[in-house]
Amino acid sequence: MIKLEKIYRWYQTGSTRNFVLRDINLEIEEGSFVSIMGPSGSGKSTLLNVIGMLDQADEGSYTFMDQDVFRLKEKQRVELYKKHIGFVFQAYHLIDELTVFENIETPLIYQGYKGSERKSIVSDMLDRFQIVGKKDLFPNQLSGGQQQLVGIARALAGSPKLLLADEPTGNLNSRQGEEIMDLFKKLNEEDKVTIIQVTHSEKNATYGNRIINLLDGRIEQE
Amino acid sequence: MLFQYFKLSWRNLLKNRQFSLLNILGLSSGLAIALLLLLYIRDEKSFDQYHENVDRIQRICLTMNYDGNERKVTTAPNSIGPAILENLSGVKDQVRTLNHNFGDIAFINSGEKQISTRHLIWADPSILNIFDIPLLNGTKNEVLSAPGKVILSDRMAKTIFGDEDPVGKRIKIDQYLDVEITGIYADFPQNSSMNPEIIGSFNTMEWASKELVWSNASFETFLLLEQGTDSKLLEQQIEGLVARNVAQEDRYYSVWLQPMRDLHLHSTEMQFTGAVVASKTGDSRQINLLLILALIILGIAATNYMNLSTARSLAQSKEVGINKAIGAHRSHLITRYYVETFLLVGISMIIAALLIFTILPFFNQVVDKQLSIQDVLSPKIIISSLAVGGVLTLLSGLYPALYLSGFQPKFLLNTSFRKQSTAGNFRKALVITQFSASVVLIVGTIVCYKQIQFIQQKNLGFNPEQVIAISTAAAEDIGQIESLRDGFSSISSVEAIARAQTYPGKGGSGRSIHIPGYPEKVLPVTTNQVTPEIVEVLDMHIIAGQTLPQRSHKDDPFCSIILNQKAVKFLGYSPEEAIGKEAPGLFQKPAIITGVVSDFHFNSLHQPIGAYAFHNNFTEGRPYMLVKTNTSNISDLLSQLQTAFKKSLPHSAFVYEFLSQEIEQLYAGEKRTAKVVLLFSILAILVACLGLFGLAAFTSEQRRKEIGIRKVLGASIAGLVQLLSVDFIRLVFIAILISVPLSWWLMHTWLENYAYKIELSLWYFAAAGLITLLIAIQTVSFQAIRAAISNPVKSIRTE
Ligand SMILES: Nc1ncnc2c1ncn2[C@@H]1O[C@H](COP(=O)(O)OP(=O)(O)OP(=O)(O)O)[C@@H](O)[C@H]1O
Ligand SMILES: [Mg+2]
Repeated sequence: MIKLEKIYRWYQTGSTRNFVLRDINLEIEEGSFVSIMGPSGSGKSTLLNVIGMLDQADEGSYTFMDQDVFRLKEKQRVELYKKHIGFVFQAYHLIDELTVFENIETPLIYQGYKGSERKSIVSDMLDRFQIVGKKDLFPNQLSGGQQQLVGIARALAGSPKLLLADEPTGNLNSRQGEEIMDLFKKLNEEDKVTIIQVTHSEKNATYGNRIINLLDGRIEQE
Repeated sequence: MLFQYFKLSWRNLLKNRQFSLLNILGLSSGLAIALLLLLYIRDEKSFDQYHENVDRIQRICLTMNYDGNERKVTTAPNSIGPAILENLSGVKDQVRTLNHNFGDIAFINSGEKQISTRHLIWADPSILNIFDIPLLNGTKNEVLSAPGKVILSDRMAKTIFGDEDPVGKRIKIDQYLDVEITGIYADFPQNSSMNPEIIGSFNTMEWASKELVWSNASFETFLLLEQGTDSKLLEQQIEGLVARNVAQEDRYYSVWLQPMRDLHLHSTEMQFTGAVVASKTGDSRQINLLLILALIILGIAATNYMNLSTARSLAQSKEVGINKAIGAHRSHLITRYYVETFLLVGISMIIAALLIFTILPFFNQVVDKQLSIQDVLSPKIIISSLAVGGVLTLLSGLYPALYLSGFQPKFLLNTSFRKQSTAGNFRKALVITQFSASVVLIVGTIVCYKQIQFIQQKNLGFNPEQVIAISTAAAEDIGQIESLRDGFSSISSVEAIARAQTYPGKGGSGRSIHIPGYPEKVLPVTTNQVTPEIVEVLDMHIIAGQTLPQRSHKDDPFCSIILNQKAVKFLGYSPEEAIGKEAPGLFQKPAIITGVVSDFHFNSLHQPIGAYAFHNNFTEGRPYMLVKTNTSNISDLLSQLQTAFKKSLPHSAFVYEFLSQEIEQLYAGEKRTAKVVLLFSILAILVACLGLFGLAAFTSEQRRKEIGIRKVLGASIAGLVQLLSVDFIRLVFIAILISVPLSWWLMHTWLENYAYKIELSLWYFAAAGLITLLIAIQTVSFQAIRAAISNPVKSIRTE
């Protein structure tokens, strides 16, 4: 599903290049649940950005579902990721002015679903995550765990094949974190959603079936 | 999807109340001001356009040449119109009009009723075919067909006759002319250059209609062209026609045609002595000035909006990032921000409309117009308002839509946002532009007012204060005038009385003098037939000789004159030398100089002082009695004057004018412009400050955390205020530096309009700069202080 070859990413400061990613070679099969770990500043988020097509590498090639991502035009790239990829953020990043229902609905609007379809999909999601009662509330009326649930529901609304999560439990307490991890595992096993998560917690990493360690921009060992 | 955007925008507006309020306030006042100006401009441009034939009507104008001096007049000899109609093709009709007494007051008597008006004209019957003058009573072909027939405006008919039917009744004009009322016409609309209350048949005036001559240009003449006639070609043909009829040496003028459409706004350089279309002229320059002002104000309002939007961009960029991450295209986001802008502009339009309705009466008062709600609601204005709203939306939304939609979503994955360079330079440029415009407007206002004050306080060379001009045009014989003079002089507060043809500020007869021995070296002279007391009444300064002799007679072999310095200098004499000499070319009989007065401003200060002569030749009438008084109890004096007047002239109306007011009238246009510019400058600055206020608020908001930390570390409030204010104040400083040369140049150009003008002194610019700076400091420090005294613990935690 994902194939990264000789990926380099650097920031230019003056005349020196500060490498954030160096020679990343990585293949991820459809249906896997991968955890990326590593110390702060090691380039985890950057790697996730590249995979999620929010950022581009400076060198190397990236094949996503048989498409050469770096060769695509901006518009085609957006089409590709909005169809296949969902994002979950550490800081939830819900839209403050929209209700729970509307937050989940927004990606469907961008994907061109009709009103009635959107309604049924969002209702499904609300059901599935047991937040029907909260559908008319605004994000600031929810707890952190609930917000993250909405974030995941939003990411899954368009039924993506790949879910990218950057420290999804980072702002939650351990019980809430466990719930989210259980949810991820279920999604991976029952719905066959490929998941790549960044995490600092050894325990969370064990929910997945593969761990990638980053150190100073390099993949250490598996 | 649009509905979603509306919903989102609406909630956004509600959430950021302060931001929305500032924006709506700025946008709606900007829109209201701009629309009012457009309304004004449209009204000025609508003058005379209601005539069905407006595109085919041309006014015959003359350019007179005197030895290098040019004078453009709107009147022509009485023979030109008929000659064109007879000899040239392409002309369907012509009308000659003559202002009764050349625009002086006409006295109307009907039974016991006495009325005075300046709006009596004599015209060919074709006036009813060329212009749109709907008759309410009477038939077109008959009402002006013979001498002694007049038609009245509806208003005039009501004034004289009330509810009675006036048709068939007779009225007396100036005591001697007995005419019959044959019809009533609808009142001329307010946006008509021409506004007669009484129109009489042209051939009633025998002297004007019997003999057709090619000199004496006293008749305002209009041509109605055939469809498709080329007016330039016609002009040449008219030139040829004049050449065939007037000998080369007598041809002191050239003829040209002015389209009816240009009458109102493009006649500022013309002289109207005696013209029918005299009173209301607009000025295309003023219109352009106001148009620029409207654009500036709209620009400032749009700029405010952009400014405030970019100030919020840090918060907005997060939203953009999220939307992009969940699949939004750039076009989605552009639409989204345009929807928000549209919503704000829409709300502001509604508020602007309410604002306009509320301030319309006040606005009318300032600009001297009668605009009504109906005018505002006319389809044209509504469409152009919508267009303005549309342009404003496009313009204001441009920056937020394009700039914000460009944010990259990758920053979302970072736990806290990195400080991006959020359009800092662009915003700075906007603030500088806004405040430069404000400074220019303030300088403009100051200079405008100073110049008007200068004009008012300038030593005119005579003293118009406490001089009252009373019209005696309606006196039936000389006995009445003598008795009136006696009556006036027995009033204790009357100091002196003179009779005069005219007075300074009101023109005079145009003649010319030439240098002795050189008949081709001529200078135009304004002449005024007066009695000797004029020097005392007007408090003129005699430098040599004395005033006119007391007694003079029609059959005297010569006449006496008083010249001003300018005229004497032209003749080549010193004032003392001039006494007893002749001024050649003025009259048929020799004109002997008895006195020389220092130069005085008998015209507006737009024009340099020309030559002037008071004389006692019996060539003109003397319809004014000028009375110099010395009392402050004006109402008492007026009633005494009126009593005396009624005793001597029982059959005529008592009409008077204060000379000082008449002179002020010369600058009515400037004053109106100054008032309008002042009003709108204040509003423009207010709108600009609104923007600065918002900007300061949001910057403080953004830096709350920084302020909190600094406070915890021990920063003083004064230090924090300085920290927050100094950036803005620096921008305002730069704005001042930019605007000073700009406004200097603009004002210098404007002052070129005046022959007598103030010097541009440094303090005008200093004052404008200081005012702007003070307002800016006030605005910014208000926000800064608010931010600086807030509780630091709270602001740190909320981050
Ligand atoms: N815009 C940028 N300019 C310069 N350097 C950057 C920029 N963005 C990221 N970096 C650098 O890239 C490196 C990797 O950043 P990244 O956010 O991927 O780390 P991370 O592994 O996600 O760390 P954390 O666990 O703290 O989230 C860091 O050293 C950071 O300083
Ligand atoms: Mg990270």
